[in-house]
Amino acid sequence: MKLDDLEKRLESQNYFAEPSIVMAIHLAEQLQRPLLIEGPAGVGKTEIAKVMAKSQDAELIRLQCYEGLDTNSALYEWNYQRQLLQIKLEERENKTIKDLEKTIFSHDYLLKRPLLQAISSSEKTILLIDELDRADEEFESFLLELLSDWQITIPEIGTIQANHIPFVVITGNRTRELSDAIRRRCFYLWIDYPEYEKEIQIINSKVEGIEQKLAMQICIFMEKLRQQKLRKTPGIAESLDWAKALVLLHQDHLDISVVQDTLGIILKDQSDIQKATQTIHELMESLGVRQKPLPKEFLEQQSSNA
Amino acid sequence: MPELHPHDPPIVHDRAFNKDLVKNLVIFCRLLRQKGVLIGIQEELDSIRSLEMISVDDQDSFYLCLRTILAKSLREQEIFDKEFKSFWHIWVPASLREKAEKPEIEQKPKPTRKKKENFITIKDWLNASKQPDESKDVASYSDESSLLQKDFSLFYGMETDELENWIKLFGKSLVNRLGRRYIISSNKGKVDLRSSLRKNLRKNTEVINLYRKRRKPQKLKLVILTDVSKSMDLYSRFVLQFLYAFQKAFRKVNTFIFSNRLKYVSPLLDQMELNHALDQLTNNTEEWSGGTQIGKCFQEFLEHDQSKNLSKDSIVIVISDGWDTGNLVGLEDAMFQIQQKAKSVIWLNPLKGYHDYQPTCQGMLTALPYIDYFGSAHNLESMKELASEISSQL
Repeated sequence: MKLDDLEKRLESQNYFAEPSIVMAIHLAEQLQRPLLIEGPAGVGKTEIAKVMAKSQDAELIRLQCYEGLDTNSALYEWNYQRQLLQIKLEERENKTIKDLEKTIFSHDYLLKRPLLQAISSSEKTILLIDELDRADEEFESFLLELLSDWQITIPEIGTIQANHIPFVVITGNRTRELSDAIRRRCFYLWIDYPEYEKEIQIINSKVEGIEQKLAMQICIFMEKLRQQKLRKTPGIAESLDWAKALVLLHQDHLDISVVQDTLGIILKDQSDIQKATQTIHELMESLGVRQKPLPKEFLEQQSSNA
Repeated sequence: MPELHPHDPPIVHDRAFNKDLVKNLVIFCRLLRQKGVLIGIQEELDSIRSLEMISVDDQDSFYLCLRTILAKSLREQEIFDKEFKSFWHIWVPASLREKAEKPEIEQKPKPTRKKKENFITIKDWLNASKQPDESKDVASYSDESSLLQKDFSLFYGMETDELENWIKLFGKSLVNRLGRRYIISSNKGKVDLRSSLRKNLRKNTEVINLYRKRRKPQKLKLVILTDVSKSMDLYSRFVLQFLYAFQKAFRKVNTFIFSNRLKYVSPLLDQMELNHALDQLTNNTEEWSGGTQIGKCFQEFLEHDQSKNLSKDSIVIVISDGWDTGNLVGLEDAMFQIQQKAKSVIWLNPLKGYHDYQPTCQGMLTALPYIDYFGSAHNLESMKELASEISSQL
């Protein structure tokens, strides 16, 4: 069944996907729809596009959206300077205006930005439109047109139609609500923080030589940590960084001092670190890490701080 | 959740196994549409076509397939899950059943579920989405308008958290819609034809140098003076939440709290720090008891404005109900100076939310002539107005 093939393809690239992810990619591929992926930061939204590209041996074209992104930066721009120079050069030769126009408005003078690259590619590509919610609504409606027609009209050249409709992945961080029109156009996938078993699988595959005990402890810790109300909840990317760092430090299990020293790898905000430090004992207890009884002065200090 | 009961009719008669699967699928789509999921003909067609791509007798695949195609947001997924269970109940995959049985940490009690939908409608309204969704409108019109008008003090429990989140989101969304004026830029942005022609004409005969233009970031400073006396505490917190979210729009933000004395809280960076700081400061009752003395506090602010918070490019926002037990002359003097020095003065008074409010208290009356915008900030509607006001000044 094609679904299983897809799963194997993804796994061969070390991407262990939940069934919902595999289904979404499968349907988007088969029915040629864009795939809209939303979810918290660091859960692997962008990864999907990269993995798809590698597994299909296709080119990955990436359009990073930002506030103020307009069609010039996304679609194409004329290489004005080159055109001006060409005009200057051709002054001596008595060319008609029409001929001149033909020269300077040709493909050589066209700076192709990601969207046009995707359309005019001679092979199948994967088009990643990253963080679409950072661009504005105007850009969204322009994109919508593109996703429906898959053709662009450049006034000076004509209409360029796509040879191969690329596989489109759109990611969103939910800083802004995307318009309904875009949502209706795409198939939707919500990726959440991985479940415990999945996270262990991912860590095991990406971090070589990690002790099972350490991997399990990391996953339990992260699961508990994510339940707290943090400003920047860590994703799977942070878990992997942490695991790799701990392996480098020759750790085979977690203990309080190591955790405290390495909190900066998983938490990127000062108030989050403070919060984690305050609750670290409960977090460690959930791992079954037995501790020596704390000295009296330390306990007194703790209670006066709280 | 409807579970398969021994008394249920035998499988053969179940809708789900009706030979006309396509017909059932269309009925299911219509059902979802009634429940507020936007499904058009295209989605229905897609869902039918997709059946060829999966093995239909696999429960998990069937469920996931339809969900990917028909539910286009997290909220729609929730509605989908609920309706799927009741419509195709035999084909509920184990994973979906498990989800309900697991003690959900996020599980909210039933009455607030409806409110959640209302908040989502408000979110659309706050975002001024250009495609009015008629089905949504019909379902929640009356609730929506009442929710927008609902005074902050009437929210409680879970709703307060939701409200906080929406306020923050709203603030952030406004940051994205700042002024679109352009400035000259060296290498980014569109080519500014006008500048290019003019500047080149001066030096050269040809257009050689290209001048570009990009959006100019408008950055003003913000000074917030918050009344933290008991009656104001709740409103102050909500407004501050909003202003925090909006903070990216400002170059610099400084928050002061006052009651019978003025205290500098912090640059408006960390919302959690603020709540914590507010709690700590106001819990120290010896310092904070006694009536509000607005004039005295404002004078203090002016005297100690070493870092020149007050300047022609700063907006001053005062959040207070104007009840003052102090020196009125001092207040008038202070307000006069503040108005002179700052770009504009905004005063937010929750009492203004009552429709027959007239500023009768002396403090408010004294300050009124020196205020550029007098708002209420007591509910979401007024927050939107405040936002427009601030945006127009940026």
